[in-house]
Amino acid sequence: MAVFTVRKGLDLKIAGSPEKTLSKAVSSRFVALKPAEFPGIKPKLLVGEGDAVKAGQPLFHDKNKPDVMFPSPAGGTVREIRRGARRVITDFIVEVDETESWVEHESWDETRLAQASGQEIIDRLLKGGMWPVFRQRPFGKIPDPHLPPRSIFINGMNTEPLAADPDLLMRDREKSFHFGIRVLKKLTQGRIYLCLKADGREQAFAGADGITVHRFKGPHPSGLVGTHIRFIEPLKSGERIWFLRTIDVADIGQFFQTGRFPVERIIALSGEGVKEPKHYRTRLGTRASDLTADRLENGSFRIISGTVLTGTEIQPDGFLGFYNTTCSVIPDSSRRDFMGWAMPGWKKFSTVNAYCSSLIPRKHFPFDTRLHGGVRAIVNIGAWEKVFPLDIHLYYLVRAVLAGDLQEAEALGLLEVTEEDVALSTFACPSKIELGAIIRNGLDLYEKESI
Amino acid sequence: MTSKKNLGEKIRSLWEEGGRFHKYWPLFEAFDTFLFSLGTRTSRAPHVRDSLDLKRVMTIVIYALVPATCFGIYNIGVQSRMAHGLEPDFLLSVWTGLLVFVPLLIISYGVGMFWEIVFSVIRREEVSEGYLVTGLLIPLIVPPTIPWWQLVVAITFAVILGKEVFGGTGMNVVNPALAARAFLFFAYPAQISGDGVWFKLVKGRAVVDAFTGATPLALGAASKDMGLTAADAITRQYSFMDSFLGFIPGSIGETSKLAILIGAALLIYSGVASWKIMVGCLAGLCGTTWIMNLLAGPDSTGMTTLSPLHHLLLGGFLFGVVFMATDPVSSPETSSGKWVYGILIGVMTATIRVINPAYPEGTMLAILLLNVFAPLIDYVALRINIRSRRLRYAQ
Repeated sequence: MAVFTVRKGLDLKIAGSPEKTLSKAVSSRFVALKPAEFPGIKPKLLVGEGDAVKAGQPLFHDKNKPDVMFPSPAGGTVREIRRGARRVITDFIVEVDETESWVEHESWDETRLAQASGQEIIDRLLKGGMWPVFRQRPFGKIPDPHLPPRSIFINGMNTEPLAADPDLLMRDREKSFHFGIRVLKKLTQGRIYLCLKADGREQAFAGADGITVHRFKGPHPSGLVGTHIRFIEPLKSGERIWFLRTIDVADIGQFFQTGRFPVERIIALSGEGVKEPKHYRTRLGTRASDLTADRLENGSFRIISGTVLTGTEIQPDGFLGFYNTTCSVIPDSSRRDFMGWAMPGWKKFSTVNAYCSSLIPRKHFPFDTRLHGGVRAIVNIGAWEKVFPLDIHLYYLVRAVLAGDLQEAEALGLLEVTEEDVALSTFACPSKIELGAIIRNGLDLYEKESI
Repeated sequence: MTSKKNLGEKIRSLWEEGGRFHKYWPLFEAFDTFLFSLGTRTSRAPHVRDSLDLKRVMTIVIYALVPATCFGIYNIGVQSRMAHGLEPDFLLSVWTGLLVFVPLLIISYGVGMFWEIVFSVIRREEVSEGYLVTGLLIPLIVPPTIPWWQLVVAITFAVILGKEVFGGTGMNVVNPALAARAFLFFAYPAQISGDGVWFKLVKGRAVVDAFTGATPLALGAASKDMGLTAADAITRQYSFMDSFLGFIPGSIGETSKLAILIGAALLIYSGVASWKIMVGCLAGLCGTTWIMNLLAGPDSTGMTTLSPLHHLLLGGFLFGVVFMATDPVSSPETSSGKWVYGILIGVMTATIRVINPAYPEGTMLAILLLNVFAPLIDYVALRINIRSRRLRYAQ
């Protein structure tokens, strides 16, 4: 085990961190899966509107990799298939039946697992709709099941602002977790890394044998898989790793033990717009309005499935994402400040000490959805680098991507990052450049050209 | 309140899509966002953003320039009155200074912003804030006697050929303010160098007997012919303290090292300018001049004997280092590149000052030269980064 210290980064001082308590369950009559949140997936429908589905039954699969299935979060009826711009499917909505039926798979014990081959396990994960919990680097997409990874990274951290507490999410799930680890061991010849925070108390997970535990301390992005990979074992050309979270490992364990696709999720409802920010037990793909009902302050808010750094804006009748364990509610504002550029700015947050607010320590800053400035040509005063711990020259990487010079971009480290790794730099950019979109665009182009 | 708002909307609609003045939208936008910060919201993650924008970055630099500007105005008057043998009365000195400086400032912003807006309208882009700083820098780095028409020509040259032809703020190769000064320096050398330009004298009024009009660095450069060390030649007229506080002739903003250091403190604290570049520059200048002192030996005369401290206190070096070498657009982006760039500026300045007989001051030329080389320095730093990544891949 090693302890790695991340020095560059930033923990946003944003109000509304969720209490580390678990509140009563929230039930939703409607749940949904959102194809658009799986990057690079072309959904092909397997059921239509009005069809009855079982919990765990595939709703759609990927056109390019047909064996990657996406499961229904509930048993019931497909109520609506919502489409957005250019007829892209945005929400696959299922109305939950009172008496749910389930897709039942064989339940395995230790001996059954020990006999199983890697291929058998992959087939079962694919068929059961568990495959999408895996993602790969480079590209941050769902991996091809036929291309084995160099190693597997398990992330037991979440350092993003207002995020759900990983320890709480894993409470009472040791057994499933350990079973899940045994499943993972069948998937790779390489190492399995477990990344935990340095001051954590998750000894139960660290005790799993045959995996390598590393600990990280420091501000966000110390909890991002991109940071972990770079510090522990950087990617080499042509290599890929798979990554997932501790809760995913526990879900895999549970899936193999019970034979049912695990639909339960714990979501942190947090942010300044929430009366009492805390964690709620609910279901995968729950409707936002069910979670937020009577729990929000009065005012105009933006609801985000995920965190303020990487999440997706959803409407009150929208649904939480597959990978999201946080629902952030932050003030929505388009207020215009009088001569804001010249004022002292006692309440304005900046990563550089550009406002008087830097003179007085504050617990929280009032963050809202404003961009705080016009989009300009890149003038790099070092704000990007100040919150970016990897040894990548972001300015030149971004320039190479914008110029379409993918060879240079790769040499400069394009494949070591995704949009989440540059989210803090995007946050800090005084020219308001959307670095995440540029990097994602570069990754897509790279993938297209390398086929 | 509502009627006021409606009037605002009415005026706004004239400039928006379909309005009568839509062609000049950037002009309206610039004025509008000058009064009220933009209310635009984020359309994707990250949903919250830093409060810092380019307007604020430029504002910080302007705040940092305030001490040097104020002292510069005062010192114009002081130098002028002393040359005439008058008491350096505070209010009268400031008045004289204002009479000189305000027209230069108006010309600078007027001409510069005119060209900025012309190019923004042509390009249909929002007016960039880049000129806010350039517009204040230019009058601070010229002598108080600069003819107005020359300033107009120089600013036009700097904004168009120094910046806009490359694509505007953020794309320029050299610092636009220095481009303006370099233009003056080579096109009209008589009005920006030599002994006749640093004092605003009143025609027909007598000057004191000992008046030469030379800057300290010019005295230093001439010291060898007089058989003196540079320090002796300079300190006969200007004490260390005068040089530090700024009671010496020179370009308007460069004389007070104290005022510049106050500005530097703000820039470094706020993180808007790179301290690595500043420290690199100082190290380069001090190191080079120290070696020259050693090589010169004990009984030499002339500039080679001038100590590093004197070099720091005289001329425009400190001003150039703090406000111009650190320009984020024309300096290297990489951290190691910033060190190399800074050190080389120091080395070049010392070399020009000491070894080149034609120019007593070398800061401007050193920074411009390294501006041009900044991409090359970065290129080397990038190759090192790429090589280390390739080695990692190959393991």
